[in-house]
Amino acid sequence: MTGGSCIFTVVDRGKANSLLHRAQQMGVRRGTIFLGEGTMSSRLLDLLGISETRKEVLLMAVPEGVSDALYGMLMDEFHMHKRNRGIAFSVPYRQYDPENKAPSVFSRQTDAPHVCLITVLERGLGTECMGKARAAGARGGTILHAHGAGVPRDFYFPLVVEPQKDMVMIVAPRESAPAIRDAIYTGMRLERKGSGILFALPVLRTLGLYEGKASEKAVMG
Amino acid sequence: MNLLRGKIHEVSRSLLPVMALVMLITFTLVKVDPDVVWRFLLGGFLLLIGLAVFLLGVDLAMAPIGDRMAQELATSRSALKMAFFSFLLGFLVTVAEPDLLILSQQVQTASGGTVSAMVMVYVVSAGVGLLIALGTFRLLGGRVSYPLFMALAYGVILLLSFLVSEEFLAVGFDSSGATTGALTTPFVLALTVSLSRIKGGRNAEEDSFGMVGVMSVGPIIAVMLLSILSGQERIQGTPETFVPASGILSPILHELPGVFRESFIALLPLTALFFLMNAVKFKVPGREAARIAKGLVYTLLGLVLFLTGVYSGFMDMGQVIGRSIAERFNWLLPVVGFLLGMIVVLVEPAVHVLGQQIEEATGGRVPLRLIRVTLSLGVALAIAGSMLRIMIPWVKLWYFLLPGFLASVILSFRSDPVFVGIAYDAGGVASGPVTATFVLAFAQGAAAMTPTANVLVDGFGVIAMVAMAPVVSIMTLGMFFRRREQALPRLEETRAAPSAESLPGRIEFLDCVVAVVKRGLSERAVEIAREAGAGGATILHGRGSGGHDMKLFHVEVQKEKEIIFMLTDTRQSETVADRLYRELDLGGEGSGTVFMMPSGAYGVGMPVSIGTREDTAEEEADPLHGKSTAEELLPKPPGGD
Repeated sequence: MTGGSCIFTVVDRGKANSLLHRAQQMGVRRGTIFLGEGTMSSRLLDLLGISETRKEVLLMAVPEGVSDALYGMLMDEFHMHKRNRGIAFSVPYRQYDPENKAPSVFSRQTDAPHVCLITVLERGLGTECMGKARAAGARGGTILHAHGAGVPRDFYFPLVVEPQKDMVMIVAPRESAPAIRDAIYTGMRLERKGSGILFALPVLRTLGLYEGKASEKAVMG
Repeated sequence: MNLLRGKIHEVSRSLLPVMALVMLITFTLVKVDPDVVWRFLLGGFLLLIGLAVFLLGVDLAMAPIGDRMAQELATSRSALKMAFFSFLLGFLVTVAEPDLLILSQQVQTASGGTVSAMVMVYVVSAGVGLLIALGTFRLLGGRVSYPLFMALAYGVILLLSFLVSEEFLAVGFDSSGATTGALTTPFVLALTVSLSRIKGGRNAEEDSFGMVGVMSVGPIIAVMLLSILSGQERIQGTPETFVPASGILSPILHELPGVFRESFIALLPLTALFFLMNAVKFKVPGREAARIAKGLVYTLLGLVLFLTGVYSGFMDMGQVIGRSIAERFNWLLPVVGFLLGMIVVLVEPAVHVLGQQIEEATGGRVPLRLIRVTLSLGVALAIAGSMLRIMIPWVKLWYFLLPGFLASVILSFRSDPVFVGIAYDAGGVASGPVTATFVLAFAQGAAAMTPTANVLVDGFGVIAMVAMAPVVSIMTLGMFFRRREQALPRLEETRAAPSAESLPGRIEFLDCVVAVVKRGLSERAVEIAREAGAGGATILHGRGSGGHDMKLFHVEVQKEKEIIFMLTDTRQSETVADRLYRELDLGGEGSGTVFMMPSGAYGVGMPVSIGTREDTAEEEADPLHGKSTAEELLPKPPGGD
């Protein structure tokens, strides 16, 4: 059983390839890229209907030991510690390995400073969900276009219709996570069956998260 | 960076080379009236802003509208409803196309009134409707392969072409170019991508393209039938004498109201249909409906600015350059035509939209840069060929068209299936408003100054050439692509033995099991995981690397992947992973992987443990907690549904 951290990076469209290339030179074996939309908030842009920004999400399984070097590279070469240069965060994972089965209890991370809240909703509701989360203190998020597993129906062509979904990914400090979680839960009325699910992943390390503004405001106000 | 700025950046990258080349020509080769130069620059600016706003509108409005319509179409319960609705969509998007009306009026005048303009508009729209309906049935039914379908369609054209005059053949190709306009193409592209996404499955990627190609066959067949039925064979006309407009601002202001009316009418039927269906059926949430409405406003504004810029700034410039070069440096025509074709096509609105669709639908697997270069090369050769045709009297249009279409039919069976759809689409996409004004004006200017050329006949052929060449060039690329891919090892499917077991007791912890598999295998993967006890699954399309990397002309080509997120009981996650691993043969190089992440979850009335034992204790005080257990998150095992 091998493990390490699964590093998610969210960058502008077109950058993920070069990032993956660099990571592969550093010993990361595989990575998967999918397209998403970032949702940094701006009231004017929202009014004009142009508040989304196109992003790519790169998911890499990074072995123990490579992680530090990789974060260093993200800072030095992609300047991720600066604003609007993308974000990265780590979630612990273990690779399934049939040769080496370990006991099935995961070593629970008790010291995760951040949490990644993932909400899966019907297509089109991602922006609204982001709005509720933001009202509860979330800074930004990424919307991915996903689909659920299909259910065959009695249409003329026996299609397996795949329900289209929005998958909203929000990384927040652990202290503010429950508030955001509750806001999404009640705001998006997740208690209704089939309206969506919400789950959380522990986040061990983050880079580039833009949280400064809220606290600055608090100090000034 | 906001979206609009991104669009402006994207558009300017394709527009700047055009501006630079044209300015270079005006300073070195030909003398141009300063008014025309200034208007060209101003037109370029309008084009830049207009196209950026238009593309934004397409994103916000056209894509979601296409998506809803596709949903409606695919979920038809009877063949009749599906046929009627798809026909209606094709008919409505075409009937209001301004270019088609203009062309029909020209044909009415040229035929001495035998073919009425309105009849021609309706016949062509019905042709598009019919082909869209056939294309939809083909896509959803999946019995006839796309190359075969297109081969049959071209076969019909070939048969009919023996029965009609050369003029009507040219008019047919022209009306095909006119119907694949700035508005129709993005809508049809969006519709197709959504249809194929709803259909899903192994061929989802290749099914995402090709409908524009299907659609463009409709008008050709319709016009030829019209000619045969009405007995009309000859078309005569005198080309308008060219007088460049004078002044800088006044021609632009003069164009504006007409363009606005045209664009408004063109947008009307689809908008009306959408809001009508929204009131009755879709019931889109208010926020999203507002977004679509905003998007439609952007689409209209963008289109008006764009077309005004092209009509007032680019048309005269094209004529002037064509005339002067033909007059003074006749031998340079093919060279200049080649260079113009190379870059002008990238300014076409639909090319941007198609590029974006390719990126979205293939998750970035098909290298966009290569497609763009190949498309440019095809159009460049087409325009250079057209120039040769104008210069040398014995070179006829069908010398290019017949071998070209034959080559595309043959190549379509040997090329990568995704490229076949993209290639046929590219034909319709390339013959958009910029080609129809700027390039056509350039060709007409050149023809007017060449004593042996006929402006009417030689002018018509340009659009047909531009529509044919990229089909051949992109399919050739697809052939190389397929050869490369065949050299890579393949995954063999294995069969599964069902064994679902549910564990007694309360679920304490959840894992998020993540499986990365090849595209098309996700359905199978979810089935296996459900048998092994996993709950719901969420699937993302992505592209990945790891294992074999493939290179084509130094551009890296990545494999398409599907990523499946599944929440499972910690006690079962190992079993789920094991089944997936064995039955999808995930161990091998480049075949996929499966891993687990600790998770807490909220589902249908759910408590969450944010990945930690400590948190579970905290959650007890949570008002949301205690209502139910984690078991409710997991859907009932199959059979219980």
